[in-house]
Amino acid sequence: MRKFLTLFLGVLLTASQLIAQTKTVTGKVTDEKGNPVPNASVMIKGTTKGTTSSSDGSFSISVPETAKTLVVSSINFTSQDVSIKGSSINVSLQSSSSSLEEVVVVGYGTQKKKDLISSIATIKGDNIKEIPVQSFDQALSGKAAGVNVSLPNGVLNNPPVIRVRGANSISGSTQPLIVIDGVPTFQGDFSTNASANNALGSLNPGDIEDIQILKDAAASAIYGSRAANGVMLITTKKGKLGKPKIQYDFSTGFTKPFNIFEVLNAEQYVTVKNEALRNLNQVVVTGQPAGAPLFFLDTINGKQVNTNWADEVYQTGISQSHNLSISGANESTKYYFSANYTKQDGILQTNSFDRKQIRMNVETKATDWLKFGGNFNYSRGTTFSPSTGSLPGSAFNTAGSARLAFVTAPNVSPFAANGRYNIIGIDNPAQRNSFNQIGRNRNLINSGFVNPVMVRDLNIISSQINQITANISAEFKLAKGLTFRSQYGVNYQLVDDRTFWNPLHGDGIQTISTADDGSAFNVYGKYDITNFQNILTYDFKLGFDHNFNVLVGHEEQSSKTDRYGAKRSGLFNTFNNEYQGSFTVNDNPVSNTITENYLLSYFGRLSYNYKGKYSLSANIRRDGYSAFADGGKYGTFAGGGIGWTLSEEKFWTGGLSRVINTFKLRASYGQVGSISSVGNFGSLSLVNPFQYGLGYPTLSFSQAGNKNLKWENSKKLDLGVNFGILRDKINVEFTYYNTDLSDLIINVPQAPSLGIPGNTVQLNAGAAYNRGIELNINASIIEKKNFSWNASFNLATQENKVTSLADGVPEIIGITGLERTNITRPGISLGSFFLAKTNGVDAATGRRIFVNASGAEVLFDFSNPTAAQRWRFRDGTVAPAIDLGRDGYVAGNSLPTVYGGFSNTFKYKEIDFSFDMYYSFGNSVYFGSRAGLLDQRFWNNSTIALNRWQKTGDVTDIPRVVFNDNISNGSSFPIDANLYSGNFIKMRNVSLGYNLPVGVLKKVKISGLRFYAQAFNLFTITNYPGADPEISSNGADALTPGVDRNTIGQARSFNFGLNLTF
Amino acid sequence: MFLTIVTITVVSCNKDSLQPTLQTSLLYADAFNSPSVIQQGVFGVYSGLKNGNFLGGRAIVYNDVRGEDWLNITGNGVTALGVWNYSITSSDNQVENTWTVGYNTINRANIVLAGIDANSSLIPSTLANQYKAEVRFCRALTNFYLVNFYGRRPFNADAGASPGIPLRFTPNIESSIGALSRGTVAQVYTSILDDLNFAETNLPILYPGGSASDSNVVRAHRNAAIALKTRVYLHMNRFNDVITEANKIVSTIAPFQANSGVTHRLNPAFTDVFRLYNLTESIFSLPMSNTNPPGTQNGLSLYHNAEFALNPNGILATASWPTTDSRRALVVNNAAPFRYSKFNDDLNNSVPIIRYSEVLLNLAEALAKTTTGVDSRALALLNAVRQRSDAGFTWVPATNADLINAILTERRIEFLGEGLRSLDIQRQNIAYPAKGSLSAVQPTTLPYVWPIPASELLYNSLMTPNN
Repeated sequence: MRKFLTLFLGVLLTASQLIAQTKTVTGKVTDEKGNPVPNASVMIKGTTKGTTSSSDGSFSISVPETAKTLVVSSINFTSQDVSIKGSSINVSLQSSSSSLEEVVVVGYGTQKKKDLISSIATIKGDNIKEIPVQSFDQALSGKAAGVNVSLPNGVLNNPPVIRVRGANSISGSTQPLIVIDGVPTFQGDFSTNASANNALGSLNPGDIEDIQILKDAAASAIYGSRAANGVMLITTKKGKLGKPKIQYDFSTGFTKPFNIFEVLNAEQYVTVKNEALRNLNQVVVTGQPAGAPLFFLDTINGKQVNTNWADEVYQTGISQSHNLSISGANESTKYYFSANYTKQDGILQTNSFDRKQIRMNVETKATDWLKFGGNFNYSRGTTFSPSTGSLPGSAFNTAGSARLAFVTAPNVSPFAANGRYNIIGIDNPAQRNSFNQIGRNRNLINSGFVNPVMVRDLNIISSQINQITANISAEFKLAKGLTFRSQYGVNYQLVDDRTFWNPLHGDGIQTISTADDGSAFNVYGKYDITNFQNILTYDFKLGFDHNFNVLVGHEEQSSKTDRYGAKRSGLFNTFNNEYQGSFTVNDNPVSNTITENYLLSYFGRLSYNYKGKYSLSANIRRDGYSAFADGGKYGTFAGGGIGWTLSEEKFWTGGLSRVINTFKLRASYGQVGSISSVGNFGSLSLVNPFQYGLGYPTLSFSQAGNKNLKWENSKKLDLGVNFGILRDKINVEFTYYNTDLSDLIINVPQAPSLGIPGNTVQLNAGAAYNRGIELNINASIIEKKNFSWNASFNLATQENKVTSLADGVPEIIGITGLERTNITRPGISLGSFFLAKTNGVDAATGRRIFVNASGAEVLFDFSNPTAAQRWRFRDGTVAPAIDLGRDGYVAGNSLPTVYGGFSNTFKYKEIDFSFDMYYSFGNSVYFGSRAGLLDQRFWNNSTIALNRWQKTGDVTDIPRVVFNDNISNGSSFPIDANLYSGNFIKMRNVSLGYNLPVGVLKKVKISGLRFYAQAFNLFTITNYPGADPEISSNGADALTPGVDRNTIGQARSFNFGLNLTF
Repeated sequence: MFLTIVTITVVSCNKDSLQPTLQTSLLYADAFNSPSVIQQGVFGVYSGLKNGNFLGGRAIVYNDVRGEDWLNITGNGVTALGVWNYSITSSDNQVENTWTVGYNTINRANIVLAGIDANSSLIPSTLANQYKAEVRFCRALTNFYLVNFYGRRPFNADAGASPGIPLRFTPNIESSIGALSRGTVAQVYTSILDDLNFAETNLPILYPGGSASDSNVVRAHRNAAIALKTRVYLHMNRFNDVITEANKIVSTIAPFQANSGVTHRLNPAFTDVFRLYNLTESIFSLPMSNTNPPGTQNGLSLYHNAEFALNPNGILATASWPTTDSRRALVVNNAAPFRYSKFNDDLNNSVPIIRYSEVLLNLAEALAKTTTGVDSRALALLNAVRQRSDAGFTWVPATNADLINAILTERRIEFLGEGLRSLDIQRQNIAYPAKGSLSAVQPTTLPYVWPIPASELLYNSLMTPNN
């Protein structure tokens, strides 16, 4: 303490001396080309005193006579120390955009990009902060080679599907580990109800400085057992040297659905459905003759009922976002404070997202040898949503609004003539309950599932995440080059999910017992990640040319989940719509869980560089994980690489070096793991308590454990070349990667007759590989005073193949809701499509032509009253019914084989224009919604049904319509007629900005003001007939990619905003 | 220095954290280590039966709607459309789930049987035998339903010579190849009878609390095993055995009742059987409650009141079911769709598995089929069932054939919605009659029984399909 006081007094004393004598220094800050650099910070080294350069780059600062050095820095330039000699100093800053000069955050430390020999992709926070999304990860599509980020639907704050170099697990997560400021964070949808809520929405995209994605083993092995899917390191902003910077960002805009299915209008519907009835020619409704029409147009108040249900489901949503940050730094302290509020309405009615968030990042150098830092983030993210039917597992939910929008009959109305909701028996509970259907108007038969308007208006589904992430760190400089860093981080979130189902209609209805109608579920979850890490780093040189960096560390992380939920039903006062209301019945608890896991790790890294020419890096990590059985808790993971910078060699001279100024070869290899598929107690065989009736407590076998379970194994090879052309105007990175996956955990299906719970046991049995090439090109194509053009292009190919599953497991079926859509078996790509083969429509009879396992054509005629006779061979003899299990075939792969992005930024004087494209090729998409759109039950049809077969000789791909036929078009089991190419090129983001000229800024005394307009998902080039080929009904599930079944498409958004800097 | 100490302390403390405590489950190894957990294991087998995908709901529904008395209304493939119209395929969820839940129950039973044997010192041997009897009763019931869904042909088609289902007798608690071929239908019936005979010997005659107590309805007791045997023998056309078994629990003359064990008799008010569950008419039922319901889209009331409606040309059209019958009063609406309110609550309706009226009609049918002419006791049993619901109606069959037809008709009325119709059709090896727009399904055709689940064929290399 005394030491500290002395130091403190010393500083004061020095400071007072500094004020004594001063002189004025003037100068100009320019870039490498001589263009002025405005707003550059000019600080007296070792003090907090400084100024900024004006719009023409000039500055004037009074400095004490004793001052020797100025520190000049600016965003996008390398900070430079300048000796004070004389009274006029011109400073030429080096642009840091020359990518090889950048410092890159790597696991538990940083490295100069120049010395990197691993595959790390970098995305700058500024490139994504204005994209109108809810969580930053939704904005990453096409931004980095080998990192495929696709949006599965247009539901707000629904997590995107992120795959780094392909899917690297079969049963577990395929998402990378996400680490924010050194602490692994919550990722994924934490909501337990239909209102999606991605925990990553708690991070304000505007707070992100940059994102590093560790792709190969040399980079990721230091994360050991969690690195198989890559690691995403997010660094939040810190203050930058200079005077305090106050920035306010505002944007507002609107969002709309696109490519909504065109369905039949009321007249067309009546025509098609009655034709289907005639074609069936059987009694469908008792009392009505065979073939008689059952569908009729209706009028309400003199107006024909012609409801476009999409209008009742979709909307144009508006959004606003405010972001205020105050940041700055002096020699000793950096600070960054921000507050964010955003409120967004989705493309579905009653779908909304809002976030309130506050961040404080502070870092201070207490002494020469001690640095403290702390980051604090609080966020409250709330979503409201209808039952969308678009989240994984919900594709066939009766109240799923995506399907209701196209399935409901257009000749029925949302409201009856008396203005009340149009449902069967609204005033008659017995009828209301037993039907629980929309009213039929004049139709004589069921005309829809639930009334979309009534469930929209009366049901409430919400999820709220209150999240605090905080960490503090201390860094001790123990000796020259030797530092010890200790960091303690806490991520804590409370998730409050609420569901209210009204007692009149929809999900809240019990079929007959009206006393239980109307339910409320509240689920409350507490999630805790506590992380403690200690790292010793030693940087040293041997001689002049041998540079070493050695790191050893320890980390432990505890993750706990404690969640409970309650349900009440039997609402007896309809003014209530909350759990606390008037219910008669307290039901069983819902979504209860209490579980934990623990990870204890030791790791180390050695980096070595000789003369900047030869580099070597090796990582090792030993992880102990609680979920594994005794004796198998620990695993060791390692990776390393070598690099050779040829351009540093003497022979790299002359013409060659002028064209290719940098050139580096690199190779890395290592073995990492994945533990995401293992349940917290996955190694144990368990019995669970429940009850039989009332008063009979039960215990029953609930989990067949496997004490030999271990992490999944991922061996990653990476061979690459990096080169810079024309003074690094063009940087190219080309990589070949090969990931061999083994010990993949397979939920090995057991013969169901064994009676094992879930019919599966987890075994480390599978093997697969992902391989391909990556190409990344960044180019400063034009760098003129008034005009610049930067472009970047990335491409990745990905060949995925499963090489083995488990003994006795020839294949794994992938299920979308109720139907088998995908298959995984050795020799094919993960989650390929498995469909019944069809061969169009028979022009003579209008029947769907199926092709059975032996290649014979089987024609299907639903109108045959004898089920066994509906299937017939070409020669008219009765054929066995098509059975997907027996007759299905692998119809295509569901994972893209080529994907990437193309970005361009143009600046002309005060105007900037940029666009980002995202593309994906090589996969098919199963357009399951098409099966529904052509289903011949009461369901409304797509307008393509107007091309249906009607008479002999009609050549069409739409079979003859036969009422209640749910087989010909793929509703009963999926058929290949609904499989389409999923290729697309998408204009993800376009932005046009205007910066107020410097002259004007000076007058209004602000440092910057930019207005911009922006469009998200402006257009898509594709042949896919659905809403969007970038879609996934099953989210990120590895076994069932590429399915488009009753899922809402994406949003197209237009935003207008401003960035104001003081 | 200080930090080093902190680090070392923390690290050394947390080695224990690699062994987190289970909070809400029990280790399998601890599942039989006290009398109370052993009993909970036994109740766990019953709860397997009670699963909404099995006898607590859907399996009952499937056996009903395969018959001719119901019409599908909603066209919903999830709720038995394919079962109703015989279009169900091997990969269908309904085919898969029934099988899975059934075998899960059998495995629970086998686990408990092995667990009791391995821990026999913890409970008295009579209690151990009682538990084993309860569990084997559940296993017999499960095998009976499974063989009727999945056996290639009913027992009576070929005396059980056709492929049945795999017979599992050992616990499976970890990954196993576990290939096992199908036993013949006859072998399955032998196993069922073996289990039921053991059950009859070792089950309690009466649980404490009296005949009408909950335990004597929702747990197996001696008379329940006997009652089930009357059904099983009927399915094997072993009519004399039906009579022998039934006579153990049916008095010779009216009023018919069981004179030992639970005092089974017909409840005077028919509807009460489905409202007040603990009646002596209910020989074995599966209990339901708000906090232990059959689950979404599994409850019987949903199918009877929403998904399906009574076929106007089915049993409703039978002249011998006049509106004076209290069972007919449960038909809702005077016009199509005719709903049926025998079950009227999504959560709370107990599911009757076997009722005393079935034993009476099983006996009546066996008597009729082992005699010529109109057996007077058979007729008395038949009229006892009828007149409980319609005092003014008396069956007066002229011939043996008329008597048998009357008994079969009575069964359709009495057990409408209780899952016996398909069983009755199959044990007679007769066609499923035409209904609605569907033609009859002949016993020789494939749709007559269900396909073997695709997953069983895939993962059990010794399994063979129904073809």
